[in-house]
Amino acid sequence: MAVTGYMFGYFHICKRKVWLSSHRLNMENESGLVKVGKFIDQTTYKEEKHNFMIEDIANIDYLKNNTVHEVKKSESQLDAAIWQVKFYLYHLHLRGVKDIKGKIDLPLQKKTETVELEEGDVEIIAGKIEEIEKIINSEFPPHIEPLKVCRACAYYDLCMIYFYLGGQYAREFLYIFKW
Amino acid sequence: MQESFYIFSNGEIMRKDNTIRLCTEDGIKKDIPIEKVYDIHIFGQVSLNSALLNILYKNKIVLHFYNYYEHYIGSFHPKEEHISGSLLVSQVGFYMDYTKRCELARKFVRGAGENILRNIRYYNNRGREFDKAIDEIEALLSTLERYDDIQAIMGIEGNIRKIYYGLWNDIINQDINFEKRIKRPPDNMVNSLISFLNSMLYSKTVSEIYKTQLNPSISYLHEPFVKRFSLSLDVTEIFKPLIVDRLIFSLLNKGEIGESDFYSDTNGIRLKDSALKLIVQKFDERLKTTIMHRSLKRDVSYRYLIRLELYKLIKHFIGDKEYEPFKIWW
Repeated sequence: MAVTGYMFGYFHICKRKVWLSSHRLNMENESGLVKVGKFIDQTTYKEEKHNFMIEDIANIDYLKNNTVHEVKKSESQLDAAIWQVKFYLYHLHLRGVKDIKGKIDLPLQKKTETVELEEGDVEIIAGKIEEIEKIINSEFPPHIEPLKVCRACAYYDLCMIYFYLGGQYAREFLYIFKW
Repeated sequence: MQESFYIFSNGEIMRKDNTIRLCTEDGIKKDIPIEKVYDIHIFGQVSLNSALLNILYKNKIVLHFYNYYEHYIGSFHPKEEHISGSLLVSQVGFYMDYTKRCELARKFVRGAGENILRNIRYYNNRGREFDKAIDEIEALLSTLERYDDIQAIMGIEGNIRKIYYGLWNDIINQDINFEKRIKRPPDNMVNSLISFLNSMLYSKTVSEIYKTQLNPSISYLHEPFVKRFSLSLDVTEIFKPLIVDRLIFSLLNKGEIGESDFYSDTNGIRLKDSALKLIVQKFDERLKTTIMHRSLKRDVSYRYLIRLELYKLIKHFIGDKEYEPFKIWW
């Protein structure tokens, strides 16, 4: 399985989400926040959008003036978004595209963020891709690491259903199902 | 908030732009915005066309049909969108391995049994003498682990239900003459209510399974070949005591439903229209009832509890966490 743009973005938020979504256990269409994001995606920059695909690996929102644009709802996961754009630039770089920059558009905040492939990024990204491959090829999903962002995640209910009161997180995830 | 729609009148249901339009025989038109629809249950005689099915498909809405006797006859189930190959393989794996299948089957029966006990204890604390029945059911549940045979596990469930139904004449303060469970066709009021509400719950669970990546036809306690969506039968067992049985007790003990709400003819007995509407309305209200979920730390509806049960099964199948059946905790 090839590592795609969304997996690369998720990797910077939650490794478990990478496993679950790469196994097609999608919860996104149930989440209100995701619906908002989708709506923003569908209603902004309509003239520019043409979903530029790189070989089923990445789906770039749009390309304009040698710049890769990625539209985001909020700044809350800016770090993940920056890496996602760097991932696109990396793939373009591998295919011999020079002189290209990236930009994150935040239409609600009326802001943009410029992203460039810096010295050493290529190696870092290649290393991350290797790590992601390890995650998606493993038999079981990674452990739950409760974070602040979990509350807003579409996977919250699936992950937390067994977590009981008292702030005590059940950490006995027994991997008992060896075939 | 999406709602379930129940259609009792006769007429036509069609697509009108991006809404669903309902035209009844007496000329009343009603438009329902598609975003508001969770699922649709049709009790009346309704004609529909493929344009409607198209919009239902696009919005992933399940349509359930019931016949003249209010028996569930089937669903329009839009093409599966949520498919996870690896989950399917694992779901089948748990069926193929007989030990693992029995493990799950026992959990469904245990969940159903614990919730039944919960109902009996409630009435035991309110002046009924059910101590003997409680002991018997507890004894049956404790033997469950000994059996590695689906037939035997189903047998235990049957025995638990037999004891449970034996108490209904005492639980319900109307004269109901409820001897035993008879299904096809139900012979008296209580049997008819059980059959009808069980099938409503079954179809609700089908709607919920459709929203997940689980395959509805691979089941563990029930044989997968018996019904099209037999996983729904497995999961429904756990929720019958909470949703169906308690609703029947409430309807009968408050005198909202009585013998006069039924017709009987050669094919069994049938609910009168007014009673049918009342029951469906109460059923829908019950599914919307919310409780504070102790793990998720927010209010969830009874309907959503069914979904959470499916998430637990997904966790079991992907080797994340062993399945524990839902138990009424409040």
